[in-house]
Formats: sequence, C-alpha cells, structure tokens
Amino acid sequence: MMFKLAWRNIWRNKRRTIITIVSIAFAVILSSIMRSMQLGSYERMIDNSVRFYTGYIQVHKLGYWDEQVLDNAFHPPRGLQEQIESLDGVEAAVPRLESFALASYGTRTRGAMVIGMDPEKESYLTEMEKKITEGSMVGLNDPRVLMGSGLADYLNMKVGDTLVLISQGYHGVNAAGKYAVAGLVEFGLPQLTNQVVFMPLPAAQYFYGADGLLTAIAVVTDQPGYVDDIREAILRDLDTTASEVMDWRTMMPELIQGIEIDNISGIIMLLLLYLVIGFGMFGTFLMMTKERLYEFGVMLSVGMHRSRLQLLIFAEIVMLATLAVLTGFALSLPVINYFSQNPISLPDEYKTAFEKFDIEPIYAFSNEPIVFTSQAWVVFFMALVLSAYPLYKIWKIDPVTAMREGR
Amino acid sequence: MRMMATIAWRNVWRSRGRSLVVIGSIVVGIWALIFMLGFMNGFMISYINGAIRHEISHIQFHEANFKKDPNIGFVIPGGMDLAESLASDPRILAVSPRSFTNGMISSPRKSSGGRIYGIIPERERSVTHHDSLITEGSYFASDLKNPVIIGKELANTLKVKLNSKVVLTFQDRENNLVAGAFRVAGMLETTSPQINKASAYILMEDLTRIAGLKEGVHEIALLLENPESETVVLPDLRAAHPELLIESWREIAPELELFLSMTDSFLWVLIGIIMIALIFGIINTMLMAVLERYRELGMLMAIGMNKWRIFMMIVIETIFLSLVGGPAGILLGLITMYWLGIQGIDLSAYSEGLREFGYSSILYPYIENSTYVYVAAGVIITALLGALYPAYKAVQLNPTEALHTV
Repeated sequence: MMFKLAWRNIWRNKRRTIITIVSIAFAVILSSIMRSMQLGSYERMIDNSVRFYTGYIQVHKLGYWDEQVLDNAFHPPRGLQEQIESLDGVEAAVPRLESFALASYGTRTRGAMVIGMDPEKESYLTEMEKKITEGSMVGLNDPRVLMGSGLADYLNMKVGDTLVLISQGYHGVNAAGKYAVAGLVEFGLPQLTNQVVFMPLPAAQYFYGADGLLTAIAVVTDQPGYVDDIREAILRDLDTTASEVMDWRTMMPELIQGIEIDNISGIIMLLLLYLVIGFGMFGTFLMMTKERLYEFGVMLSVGMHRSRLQLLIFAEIVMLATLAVLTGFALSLPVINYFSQNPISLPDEYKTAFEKFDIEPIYAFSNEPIVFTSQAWVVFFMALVLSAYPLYKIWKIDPVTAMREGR
Repeated sequence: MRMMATIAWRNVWRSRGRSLVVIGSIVVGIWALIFMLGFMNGFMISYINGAIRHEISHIQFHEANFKKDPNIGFVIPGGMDLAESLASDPRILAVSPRSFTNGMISSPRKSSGGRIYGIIPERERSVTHHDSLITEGSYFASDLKNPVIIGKELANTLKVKLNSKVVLTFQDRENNLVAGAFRVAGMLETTSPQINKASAYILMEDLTRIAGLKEGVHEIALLLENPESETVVLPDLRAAHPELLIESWREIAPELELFLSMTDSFLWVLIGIIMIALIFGIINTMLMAVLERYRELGMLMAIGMNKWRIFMMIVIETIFLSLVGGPAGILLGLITMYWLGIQGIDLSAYSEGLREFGYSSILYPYIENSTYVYVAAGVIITALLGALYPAYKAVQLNPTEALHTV
C-alpha cells in the first residue's frame, strides 16, 4: 500500500514532480559533462604522449627498459610481429632499433639519437609522413635518413646533403657510415626535433652491426581500453625469461603522476560543483516540504504514524531520484557522445600554444561508461542524503500549526 | 516603487527558510567560484615559480646568434663586466653568468647527449638555488679536482655514483672535439626533467680552459627583485644592449605558456558549468516559491495589483536576496583565501608526482582583488536571470483560478 500511495502522491502534483526531477536530472547531466571533460583531457594527454613515440605497449629483451643500451637488443622470436598484429584491437607492431651516435656534417658534430624504423609501420605510430617539413619519406630499403629539423639546423644541413654518423655498435663493434638526407622532420617535442635521426631498419641494423636485432617492438592500438587484454595475449605466447612486455603505465610513470596531480584539482572542482548542485536540490526539497506541510498535518491528525509518513516520503524521494537519475543518464548520454565524436575546438588565443606542442586544440570528452555511472550514483546518494530534511521536518511538526500555516 | 520595494523586502523575510536557501545558493556559488579560481591560480603560480626559480630565471641574455647556432665561439663580449654592472642594478636581485655548450656526457657504461654549463657557484646559487636541491654530495664544496654536478636521473642512466669519473666531450671554437675527465661531486634533483636527465654543471674556469676560450660567458641569467617589473626592465635592458638577444621566461619556455593555456581554457568551462548549475538551482527554488504562493499572488492580483508590478516585485525580491548573499559570499571567500593563503593546502601525499612536474607540495591559493568583484557581479547577474522565468510564470497566472487552488 505504501508503494502505491507514494506512486500516486508523485503524480498527484505533476508540476512539483517535474521541477524536482528536472533539478536532479540536470545535476546528473552537469556533473557527467564536467567529469567527462576531465577524463577526456587525460585520455587526450595519454594518447598524444603515447602515440608520439612509445606506443601503448612495448616488447623488449628482459632488462632493456632499465638499461637502454644497444647491447640489450634482442632477436624477436620468429613470427612475433605477425602474431601481435593478428590480435584484436592491434593496428600495428612497430619495430625499432635505437641508440646514440655522433652526427657530423662539415666541421660540426653533435650527439644524436639514431632510430632504425620500418617506414610503413611507423606511420601508424608517429604518423611520420605528416611530420616531414621538407623532402620526402624514405623507403624500407633506401639507405637514406630523415633527420630532426633542429639537428639539421645545428649542423647546417639541407635535404640532399650527406650526414656522417659514428658510434659504437652492437657488442662494441665500430659503427660508421655516410647517409644522404631524404627529408627533415619536426616533432612537438624540441628535445626530439633537436637530436633525432630516423633510418630505415635494414640500414640501421647494418650500421650498428646488429643484424636482425631490435631494441623494441611498439604496439599501436586504436582501442586504449584493450591494452590490458593485448598485453595478456602477447604474454601468453612469449618466453618471459628472455623478453619483457610493458604497457605505457610502466614506461611513462611521469604521465600517470601528471594525471594524478591534475586529478587532484579535478576532484576539487567536482566537489565544488556538487556543493552548488546540492544547494539547488536542497532548495527544491525544502520548497516541496513547505508546500506539503498542510497535507502532512492532515495525515498526522487522522492518525498516521510519523514513522509511516516518513517512510512514505522516503519512498517518494527514492522513486523520484531513480526516475530523475535515469532521465539525466538518458539525456547526458547522447550529448556527451556527440561531443566526443565532434569535439569543440579551443578558442583561438589558446590554439597556438597547443599546436606548438602537437596537441590537438580541442575540448576532449570521454564517453567511458564510468563517467555516467559514477555521476548517477553520486547524485542519487546526494538526493537520499538531502531527503533527511523533509524526514526531520515530519518528525518535528505539530499537526495543528502545520495545518494552519500550510494554508 | 518604494512600496514595491517594501513589500518585496517584507516578503523576503516572511518566508525565512526559502530566502535562506536562495541566499545560501548565492553564497555557495560565489564561494565555490572564488575557491576554484584561487586554487587554480595557486596551481599555476606554484608551477611557474618552480620553473623560474630553479631553471629559467626571469630574463636571459645571449649573444645574438647563439640561440640559432649554439657554437661555443658566440660568447657575450665583455660578459663578466656586463654581469657585474647588471648586478648593481637595484631592480635585479641576482645575476649568474654561465658558459654553455652541448655535448656528450659519458661513463664507462653509457653516454648521453646533454647540456654542459660552466658556472660560478656563488653566483649560480643565488639565481637557481641548486644548492638546496642537492640529494647526494655537495654543491662545489669539496676540493675535488674537476668537479661536476649532474642530475640524479642522468647519474642513474649513466650508472655512476659520487666520485665516479665521467667524460664530457664537446667541440671547441675550431670545431675540434675536446674532452675532459670530471669527478661527480654532487647530484641534483630539480623539478625540471631537462636538468635531471640531461645537464651537467662544471666550473666555468674548467670549461673555458678545455675549450681554449679567453672569455666564456654565453648566457647571463637574472632574477628580478620584483617579477612584475619585467615589463619595464626588459625594454630598458634591450635598449641598453641592442646587440644581444634578451628574452623573458615567456619566450624561453613556451611550454609554460602551453600549461597556462591548458589550465586557463579549462577554467572557463568550469566556471560556465558552475554558473549553469547555480542558475538552475535558483530558477528551481524561485519557481517553486512562486508556485507555492499562488493564492497570495492571486489575492494581490484580485485586489488590483497589475502584472507588471507582480513581475517587478519578484525581481526586486531576488535583488534583495542577491544583495544579502553577494557580500556574504565574498566575505566567506575572502576569509577562506586569507586563511589558506597563510596555511596553504598540503598536497604532500602526492608530492612525488608533484615534484616531477615542478610543483611544490604546499599550495597557496591566490586571487587578485578585482576577481572578487567580477565573481560577485557574475553571480548576482546570474541570480537575476534566474528570477526572470519564475517572475514571468507568476504573471501568467489567472487570479480566480489561483484563489481556488489549495
């Protein structure tokens, strides 16, 4: 009976119900949007930094990550690359062979990072061809190199000049070679632009005397949510006494920490929003209680127990809150989905700084399910906590004055 | 109109609970915005100050070509004398002349490219305060020959310990490779990855000796007495030394600008969301308040109050509510900011991550005085906008029907 009564009470006064539902639903929408933007900006941050260079997952020789030297290069097990690429969600497995070398041209020399790569695969990860500012891409069997434009400036080189590289190769062999510059590349990170030389993999393996060796295989995925599954799948068939599989969380702890720091301020902002929303909701509840004082007085004087009345009101609030939260959920879903597909771009004044660092100048939205569910729960519980006010009021009122004042 | 104001004022206090909720929303809205702005401001200031104090300084001098082509030959002519004369400028707090070159830092295990600074420790200390960030060893206090201080992470990469030997290789003026053996005298941990991972500090006399330079000042970094005087001092310095490249921290470190842009662009969204939440709370409460007063409003209409006056009455009520809530919110915000400005917010639970990113672990919210006024004005306007719809709703009602509604 309680349930029926509560349900009928809700629809007895449609206007009041709608205002309450709207105020709660709106709370869900606003807090979902805020959280979605916060989480979206982290996803963008991760994607931009990971895509940039490392990849979401890397496979190397056991111990390479702690000591990144050429002597820790490995012979990838036969078929590993193909096997990784056949996994669900994997776009490409990108081979890399990297080490330091001295780069000279004419009378100038500078330390450079020489990275052997597969041009075709690399386009999945760093989108190399888009980073070329002058000249053109190299082919896999082309013994020419791409170099960072900052390094080229320092060495006073142009496309077509010949670069001399000297280094120590695998297990201490002498490494030296001359390479024509096919193109210049520019990355958002000045550190990279100022010291990087990209060489097709076979040429790099020859240069370092590391035939068939790689320092890492980077895995590219367009489904960041699958990273753990992919890692598991790679580990399943891999000899873990010889190789290691790392995801971006292990490789880029600074990124995680950066996000955690930003999340501190994010949570504080969210709490402030709850505070403001809570006040709005409290206002609605308060008015609802005031409006119904007369009714409460009547109920009490015809002999309803205060606890029964409280239970009735609580049931009403739970129903209202459930309805409202579901409405908010249903409304925020398409809104956030739309914005995550069609992000809003930043105002122009901020764009230049973002573009300088190769970061998309957009307000990113996350449409991970957790965004919606967490906010729906928070707002639902807020509504329950705020229901303490009408319950308290029922406990305190005197039926006679309530009926007189309520009129 | 006077009468309207009186009625509105009395209405406000007739129903205390309702008025207090609206006042409360305004107070909370203003407080939340002030707190948010203060917190974000504190975050930005703490980050930027870390970078300025330990790495970039306020202003740097270079020879005109040096930035484009960091050849060791591009020294600032008369650099030491210039540094002396700058140091005597009362607007400048501290000056550090340095030699600088790019090179390779190698241990028997590994080598890494990096920046090599030749410094005068007493001078450098007053500008970058690196002596306070030494984690192992000392800041050029031991009597080791050829001491070098390197970043902690670089030491880990190179697998070197205190007193280990490292070799620094770079090019001299004639582009010959020259090298010197140094002993690790100290390790440095700053908030800058660049310093931690790829920098070595040696004595200026060692660097110039190895490079065969007579004068070796490539860079002069200075801290200002008052950071805000940058806009005055910078043009003055540029006018006095037109042949040199003189840059402020904004030009030297565009990533700081990126950080500012990121935070700033997000801040406006947050403000927008909070404002919308606020306006919605106020609309809802006022709407309910108006609907609750059907009988009363119907009565007023029935005895001959016209619609325009009813509308104005509700708007004036909201103005009164804002006038009470606005100052109260500002006062609360002011007290919070003042208290936290002294006390700080301790974020040391996250300090490992904070350091990595150049924050200090205690955050001091800060807000400009004018911001209080803007926030209060914004919230009060929001409240007024929020009252328009309920007031319109009130005007719509039909007196006879309203009198009959329970």
